Amino acid sequence: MADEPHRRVLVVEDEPMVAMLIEDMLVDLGCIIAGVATTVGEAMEMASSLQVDFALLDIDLGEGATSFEVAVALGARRTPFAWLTGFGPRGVPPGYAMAPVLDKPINPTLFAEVIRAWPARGQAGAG
Amino acid sequence: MPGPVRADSPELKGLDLAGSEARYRAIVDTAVDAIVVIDEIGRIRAFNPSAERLFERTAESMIGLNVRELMSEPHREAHDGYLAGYIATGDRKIIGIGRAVEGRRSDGSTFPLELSVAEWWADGERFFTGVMRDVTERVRSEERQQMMVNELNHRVKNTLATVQSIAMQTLRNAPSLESARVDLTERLLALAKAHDVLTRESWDGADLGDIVASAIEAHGAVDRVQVSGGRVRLRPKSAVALAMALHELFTNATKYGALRHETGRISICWRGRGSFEGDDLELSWAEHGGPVVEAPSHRGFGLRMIEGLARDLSGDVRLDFLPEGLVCRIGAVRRSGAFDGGELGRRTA
Repeated sequence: MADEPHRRVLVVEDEPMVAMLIEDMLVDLGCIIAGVATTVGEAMEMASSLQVDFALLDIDLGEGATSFEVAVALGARRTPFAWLTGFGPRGVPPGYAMAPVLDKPINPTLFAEVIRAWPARGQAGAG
Repeated sequence: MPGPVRADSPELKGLDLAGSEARYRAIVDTAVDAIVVIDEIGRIRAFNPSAERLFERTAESMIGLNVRELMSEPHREAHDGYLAGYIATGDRKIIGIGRAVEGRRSDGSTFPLELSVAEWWADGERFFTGVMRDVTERVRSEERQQMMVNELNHRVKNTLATVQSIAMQTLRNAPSLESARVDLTERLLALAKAHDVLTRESWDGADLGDIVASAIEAHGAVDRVQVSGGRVRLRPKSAVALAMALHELFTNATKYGALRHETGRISICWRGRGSFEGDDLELSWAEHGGPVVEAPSHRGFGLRMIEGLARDLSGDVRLDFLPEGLVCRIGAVRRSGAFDGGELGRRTA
């Protein structure tokens, strides 16, 4: 893993303890936490201002807020992302289902597969 | 308006027909369910008072109109075809069966109704009686129930992810398996206590004071903690994060801080508005009278929990390991150190 460039990952998750879990799992996989957003506003801000190779999006951000808007913004920037949701794959509307869906609680093996599927920018993706 | 029932059934034979018609008419007119009678070509021949209320139309205006007037698409367009098809083939789609359909009021608004249809003959003419009942409430309650099941499933899975997080972090940082067992159990109990507070309010949220009181009680520290602050509402996730952060602070105080000695005291104070009203909350925890404390050498679950709470409240966190005890301030630092020289300063001085 040492010769792999670190992927910079944006985490969008409103539950503090779940966010900690995701951070730990990402760091274990050699990723750098680009940022942790707990609201749509923060996520939009971070998606546009930070260097992000990959994003993990919790769908339900509380009080009816959802991260679909963030997905659209990431898509426009060609930043890959995966859903992370307690609703499971059925909770992702058809229009957004092209991204991988990870269920909660998190299966570490599936999580690692999803993260490893995308190279860091500056590696294979460059040029 | 023609009478809805002109039955020539055997038991009516020989009776006073005028009297029995009035009786049957009364049954239809007083029925709780809406009753509409149509003929073979779909023309409305009877429309009882319950139907008038259900569809918000008068019998006078409806008699003679095509019954599709009461329907929404696609049945509205297709109903003449259904009737013709049935009369040609005898193939029953709804007659004698009943089903849930949509009704249409005169203003075009629609509502769910349950419809059963019966067929009968009189004087060589065929009629169909539709009996209808508004099921808006039932449909709404079924939808509500489905929504609650989905919401419950989502909450359970999020809670399992929370437990996964607590377990992984506890095991990762534990000096021994025995200490991991104790810490993990206590953390899960703290999580359960926070859920108890939230369940009392149907998970709408929680009062900050209730979460603080529950944590103080759980740590048997009622006489040692001074609390001050107004009524502040927290979102469920903020309430859980606060409960977990307080648990870590209390555990730390019991092991190393103010609660280790008889003389030690803790002040918990807060001011501002809660997470429902726009994340403008300042919260402080100040220990005094305990042993001299030192900053921990690594960032354990407790500190991360406090940081997580601060992030959830859109604030920052500051920990000061002062000689008189640990001081933890959340939310105030970013806003020009609003606590400096304030309430907290006086308490710890």
